[in-house]
Amino acid sequence: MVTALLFRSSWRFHRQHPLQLMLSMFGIILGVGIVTSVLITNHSAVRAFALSSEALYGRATHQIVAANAIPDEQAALFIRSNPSLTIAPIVESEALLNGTLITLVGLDPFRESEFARLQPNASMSDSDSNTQVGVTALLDAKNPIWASDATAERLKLSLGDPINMGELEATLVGTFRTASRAASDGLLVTDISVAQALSNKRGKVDRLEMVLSDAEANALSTTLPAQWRLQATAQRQATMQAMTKGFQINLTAMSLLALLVGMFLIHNTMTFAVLQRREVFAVKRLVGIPASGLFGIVMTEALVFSAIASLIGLLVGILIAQKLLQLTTQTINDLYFVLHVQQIHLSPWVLLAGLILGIGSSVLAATLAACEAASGSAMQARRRSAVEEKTKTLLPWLLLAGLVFLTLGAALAWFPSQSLLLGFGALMIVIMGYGLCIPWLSQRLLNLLQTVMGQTHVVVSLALGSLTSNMSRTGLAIAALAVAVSATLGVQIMIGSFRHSVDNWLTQTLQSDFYITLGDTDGTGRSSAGQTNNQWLQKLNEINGVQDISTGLVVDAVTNFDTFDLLVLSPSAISESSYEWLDTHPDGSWQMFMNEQSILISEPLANKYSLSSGSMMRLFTETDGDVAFTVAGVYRDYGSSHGRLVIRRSLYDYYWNNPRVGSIGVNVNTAADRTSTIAAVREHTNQLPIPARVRDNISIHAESLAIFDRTFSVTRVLRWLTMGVAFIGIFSALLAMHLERARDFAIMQASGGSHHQLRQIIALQSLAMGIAAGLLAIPLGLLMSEMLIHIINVRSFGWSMASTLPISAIPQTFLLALASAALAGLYPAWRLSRQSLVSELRSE
Amino acid sequence: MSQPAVEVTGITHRYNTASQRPILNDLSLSLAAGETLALVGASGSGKSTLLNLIGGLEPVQEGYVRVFNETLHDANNALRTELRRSIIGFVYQAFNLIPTLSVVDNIRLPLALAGVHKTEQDKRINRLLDTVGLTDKKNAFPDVLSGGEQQRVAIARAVVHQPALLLADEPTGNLDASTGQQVLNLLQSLVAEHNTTLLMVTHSLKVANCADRILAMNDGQLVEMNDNTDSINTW
Repeated sequence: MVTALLFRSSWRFHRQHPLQLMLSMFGIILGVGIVTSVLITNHSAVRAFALSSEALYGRATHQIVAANAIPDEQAALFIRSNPSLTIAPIVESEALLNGTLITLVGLDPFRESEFARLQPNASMSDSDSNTQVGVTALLDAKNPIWASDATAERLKLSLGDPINMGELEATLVGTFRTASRAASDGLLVTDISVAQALSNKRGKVDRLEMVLSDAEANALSTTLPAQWRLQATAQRQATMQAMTKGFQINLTAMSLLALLVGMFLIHNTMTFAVLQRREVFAVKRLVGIPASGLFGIVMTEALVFSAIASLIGLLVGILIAQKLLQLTTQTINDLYFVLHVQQIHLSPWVLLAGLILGIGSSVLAATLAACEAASGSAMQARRRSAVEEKTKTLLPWLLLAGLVFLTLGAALAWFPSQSLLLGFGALMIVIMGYGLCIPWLSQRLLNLLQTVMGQTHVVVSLALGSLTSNMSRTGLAIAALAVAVSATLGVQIMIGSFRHSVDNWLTQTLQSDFYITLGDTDGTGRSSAGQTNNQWLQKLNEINGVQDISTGLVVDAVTNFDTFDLLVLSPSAISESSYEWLDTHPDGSWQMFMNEQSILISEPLANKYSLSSGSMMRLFTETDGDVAFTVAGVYRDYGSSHGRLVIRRSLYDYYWNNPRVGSIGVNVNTAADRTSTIAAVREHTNQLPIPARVRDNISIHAESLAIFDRTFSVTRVLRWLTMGVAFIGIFSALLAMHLERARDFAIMQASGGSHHQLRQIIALQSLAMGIAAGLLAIPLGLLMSEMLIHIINVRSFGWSMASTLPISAIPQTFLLALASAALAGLYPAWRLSRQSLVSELRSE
Repeated sequence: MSQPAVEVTGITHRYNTASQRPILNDLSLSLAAGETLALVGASGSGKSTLLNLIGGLEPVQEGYVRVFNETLHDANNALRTELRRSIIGFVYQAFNLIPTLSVVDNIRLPLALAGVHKTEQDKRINRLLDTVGLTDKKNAFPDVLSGGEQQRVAIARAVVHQPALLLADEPTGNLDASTGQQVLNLLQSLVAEHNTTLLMVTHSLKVANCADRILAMNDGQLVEMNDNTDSINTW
């Protein structure tokens, strides 16, 4: 009965303050929405990866790979020699079709039934009703291609449409379906020979897929030639998924930051709700309701409201995830591997996680407010000044707690570990620690402002005086805004520093004046490469104005650690200067690279596997199988977070039989005319029988930076969403604070204060809070940027970089805080100027 | 004959809907400068509403209100604010002190809002603190003061800008008999000192008897006083 009465009383209070309740719930909704959207996006990417793997590998358990693909005749011989094994040769490549990145798989239709690759609805048999065109079409049509329903629909492809890829034109002769529509999105299938022709891989297959038992796999692995390697399909998938882990953790951490800011907001609102009812609570305790009862009421309120808001937050999260997914997929495609994700995958576990995070953080944030409601004597709770006195006493303790957190965070940050989670833990503890220091620092700042400016005008004095005497409210609001604004500064500096470093790196790396890319680029930046001949290269070198040339080819290299991009480099005279050394060999890195059995490795690879110059690395070669190479040096590289190797052409040619060239760097003589030289280079390039593209280093530089900017779009979106939560926080804090003080403002008006003065007071208070938040956000923002650059980035991607502080970042941050606070003060000012004086003066 | 300090003519006032019975119904009243008038009546009879209209806290709906030659019935918000700042002071039953401002700052508020120089502010405040006997508590916050002390602060705040008209709504309503008497004495002495016109709403006969004139209100109209008025009690 008593409980029912208490809840009725609470309900009535919240009904009387709908806007406050709405804002609080809106904060939770947005916080939960952001976290859930990131969880859904990450889950969708993982799920899409699993589905596409399912579509690509079917029942295949193992695959045989070679250092440089498997020649057709060797593959055929192996299949013939092992009639008891289920084996399917596969050619796989990525290509751009109508501007969209697709995966082209070449397979042997007569061997597909055992793999259930496109099963159950899409086999390549003639009789299968789900396949609109069967084997007959495959045999009859010229370069026939099948598209999945999802791909055909998305790319608006119709049967009979010509499909231009590479040097050949194919024809869409049919469509297929898989069990999951999403699994086959972005997938085109064709015969092996067509795929080889389209992807410029004539005479070779990428892998042999097999369905093997463990015993068969063990037996087979011992009999394989040294140049071949047997690997489990699941292991390959796990390796690829691990590549994106750091990126996904980064996104999750950014979203948790939004939730942390949301927690400030929830705590703020619940505290206000308790403070506004302090007299009601006091009366309740006077009539005999125990402190635990009041604690229970506040906690139940938090639970109910956060549950409702979190449920709505889940829906918002689903909506945000739709947009976020596109940005995330783009980044994964730019940085890691090709992934076709068009739709979100909702998992009950992901939604439950979002719900638990929302409710859990809200209840946690409300605990202090509930303690506030339950603590102190009944009479003391009635006294408004008692709350402020208590706050004043509490501030130094909060500062102390904050300093302890900061110390702990710093200790964790500098703890010798490569754990990304530990790094983010340290970052979060530092943010929380600084957040706890903010109320004390705000008080000092506002006092200083009061001393300096308080004498200038009565309105200034009243406004600032009121802020310092209401620290229980203002401290929290400033903390919430400062943390959010600092996050935007920290991320801005991190991205800025990263961009600056990439810019410098590109300038150093792109030493040649022009680059010729041979073959088609597949949209991931990697060229399909082409066969050139020495005579053509010699003639290119002899063009008037060309000083010298370098050639490069990027291939997959299987090593004793993982599979990495291997750059096969035939250097020019200036190639050495395109490398920034981070670790050199005592014998001279470049000299060793050019003369010894050695390779160069990029920084992320060195960091991930603790390698340095002098370390040994085993590469899986085409001629001799596993061969050891010495690391001649570690160089800076922002091209791949997974890691990259460089080998000189002559050494590569010794162990591999792949004479193709992917790109050519052309250096122009300084005295030569660039325009006529490039025209001559273009003319010479046009003689090649394969597609080729000539670009100058400036356009490649610009294109690379554009891709860089694209990869950070998702971070920027999350940053602004976090700022949105903070804005609601400061808005709700200011509104609650001003509404609670409506009576004080009415007294001021009754004592001769004009509407104009009132508005000035509120505007000044908002500005003062903005100034405090802006100033206090700067040190935290700088601290965050340092941690993001030197700890999080290194642990996530393996990239080190120097901090660069953009000149405009600090004033921008300050203005952002100021503008947010000023904007948030507009509505309370308008609302207060319309309040009924009499009803406020009457209310007690 | 000199111009009246307060002149109310035919005012009618309603809360909410037009169909509701008016809280003030065609009421007229005149108050001479320096006069003390006590307004008595049952709860809901419209006493406080009349006070609020004269004080410019609410706009006049029908009728005319003139305070020291300033018309309030057609005054905009800014003018009403200006009048409160210059010639009107308020004392409330619930004291209405700002809890986060100290005693001295509460008293300073009207002077600060009116832009009075700091030296002048301090001079007037110190004198008043001495008069109300709260010099030793000038830095205390309102909620640590007793009811009587809080009302003395409220009175000091109401008169610190030396208003010509003081409006007091149940000034002793929240106080015990002895404290109420002290507050009343203080009010009277301050009013007398500056020849301030005082319009006071009260339920108390003792308080009302201190006034030069007593008027009773019933159903939004002024009525003849009789000794059996139920609403008047004693303390």
